[in-house]
Amino acid sequence: MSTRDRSRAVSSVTEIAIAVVLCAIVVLFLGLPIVAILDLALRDTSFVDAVTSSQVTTALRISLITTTFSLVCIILVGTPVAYILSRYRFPGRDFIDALIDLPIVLPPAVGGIGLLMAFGRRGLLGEWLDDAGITIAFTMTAVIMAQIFVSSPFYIRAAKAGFDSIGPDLESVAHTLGSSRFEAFRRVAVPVAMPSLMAGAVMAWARALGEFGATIMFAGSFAGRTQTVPLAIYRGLETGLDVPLALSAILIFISFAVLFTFRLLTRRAVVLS
Amino acid sequence: MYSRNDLPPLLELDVALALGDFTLKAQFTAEEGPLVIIGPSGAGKTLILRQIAGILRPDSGRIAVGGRTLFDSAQRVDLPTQERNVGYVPQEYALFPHLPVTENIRYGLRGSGSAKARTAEMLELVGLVDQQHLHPRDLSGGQRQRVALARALAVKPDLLLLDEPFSALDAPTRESLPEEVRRLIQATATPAISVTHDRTEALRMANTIAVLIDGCVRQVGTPSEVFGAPVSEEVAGFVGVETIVAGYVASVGDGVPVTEVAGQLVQGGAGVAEGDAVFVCIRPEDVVLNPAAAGTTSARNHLPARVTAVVPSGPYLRVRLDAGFPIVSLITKHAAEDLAVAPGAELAVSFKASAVHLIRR
Repeated sequence: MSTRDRSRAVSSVTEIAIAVVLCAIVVLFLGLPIVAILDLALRDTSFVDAVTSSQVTTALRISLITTTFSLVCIILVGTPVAYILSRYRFPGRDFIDALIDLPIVLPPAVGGIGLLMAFGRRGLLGEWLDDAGITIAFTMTAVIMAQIFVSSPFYIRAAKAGFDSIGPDLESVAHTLGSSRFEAFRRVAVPVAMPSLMAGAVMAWARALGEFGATIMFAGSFAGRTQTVPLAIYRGLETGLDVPLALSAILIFISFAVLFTFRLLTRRAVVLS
Repeated sequence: MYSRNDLPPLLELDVALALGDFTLKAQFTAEEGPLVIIGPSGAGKTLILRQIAGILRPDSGRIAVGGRTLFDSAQRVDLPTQERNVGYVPQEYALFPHLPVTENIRYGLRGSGSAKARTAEMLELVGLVDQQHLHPRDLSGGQRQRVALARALAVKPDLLLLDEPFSALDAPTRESLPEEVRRLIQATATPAISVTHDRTEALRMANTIAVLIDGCVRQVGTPSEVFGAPVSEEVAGFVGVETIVAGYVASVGDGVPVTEVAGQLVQGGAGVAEGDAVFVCIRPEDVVLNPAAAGTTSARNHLPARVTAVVPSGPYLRVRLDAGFPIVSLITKHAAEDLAVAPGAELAVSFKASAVHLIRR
């Protein structure tokens, strides 16, 4: 059904008035903060200086590196897990399914505490890791782990939905044509589900980029090591508005690009299925 | 030269499978293909195909194709699907939506040196050279089916499985495709097993028919055996037509074909040419019994016949006769009394030309 079929002609004047007011409230509430940031950031001549300042570039670099690593990890592990959850029935499957959703509803700060209690120096595995000479908490690894913790559900959900929408006969036919399970997964399931996988990856990456709560708990906020863009915005407020505004403006641009890509991809996913 | 008897049977099947309330228990051997498994919806036809392909595992039993054991629970044999060398064309064809026609056909050929040549050969065979770069979503139903067939046949399977091959097509396409599919199967000399609920389709495709009802195989035989002499009320009820005999169209003189069946001439039917090999189909309620000495009736067909069996069927009697070929008549008990119908009685059968239905075989 196209959007045109769903939209109805608004008839009476009262209805038009109500519709306009409601839309205006939403637009103002969601749009005003964005406009405020862009206005201040772009009007101020110091914007260019701020964008090229080492605080900003360092934070962007840390965010780019960590989100790239976390996204690669999520895709490599999450894709087969989503496929297994979609295709096989086994004991504990519902439990795993629910566990994967948990980080979506859990406050990120709780995730951060949890990670600290599990992998921190005095955590569940901490002593064992310490003996092995591995320190995780307050390192870049911790940033990546925090991002994976909060953002992987977005990818796995989308990937599982993508695999679910593939008719079961496709892979059966691939098997009759000589493909092993892995080959059918690689040559049929993954390419057919690709629009869903891409959409999931975009959402997971955006969530990882904005990650704050779990990161500050588990990785701290050390410039050049664990200080990602959201953390740098928060820390930057202590010294002035230039850096936070510049970083915020950059995040707004990136988020818009991400959402736009996401819409394009999901539209393709619908067309394909 | 081998005679047919030296070859192992096309399919030896003996499987049991319980799925919730439904139990499938199928045991039969089909000597010669193409085999068509017919039965009403929900009889378990697709389950049989999926078990042969190895997509579904029977609870117990044995499956052998051309003498090669694919599954045997007693011997702990269970070849994975990819080692069975069985082509599978599911009901909606399951074409790979992300690949163009060429890549769909080529899918199973990866790694073989002649993949390109074989793909071209298959494109030619199914007549889709011009559509080779299109994606499945841009093809018509009939074209999709040909891609699915080409994809399955490209790897030279030992056996081709077709699930309701024509049900997803619109009516005009469905008319012409069975011959097309039969041609492809013959061109590639691939033994085939298909399932359908459509008896006309079965007659066009099959050398052997197996009737599956409620998860049980009720009858296996040639089309004329299964349609002409159903072993049970259920099979008869499903096939509907009870007299089906093979013959050749002797002439199409004044527009009404005359078909020679076992030395007798039968008038009626339409849409055939002289020399065509056909099945003559007559519903039992269209066959009238007369005393042997009776003169001509208004019916075009009038043949002497001897009663071989009389079976009560509700308010009617089902009378089986031998008129040179087996023929079945459904008459009232009252009429039977008048004619003194009993096994061995010499009578005459008559039926109108319009009651005769011819199907090219």
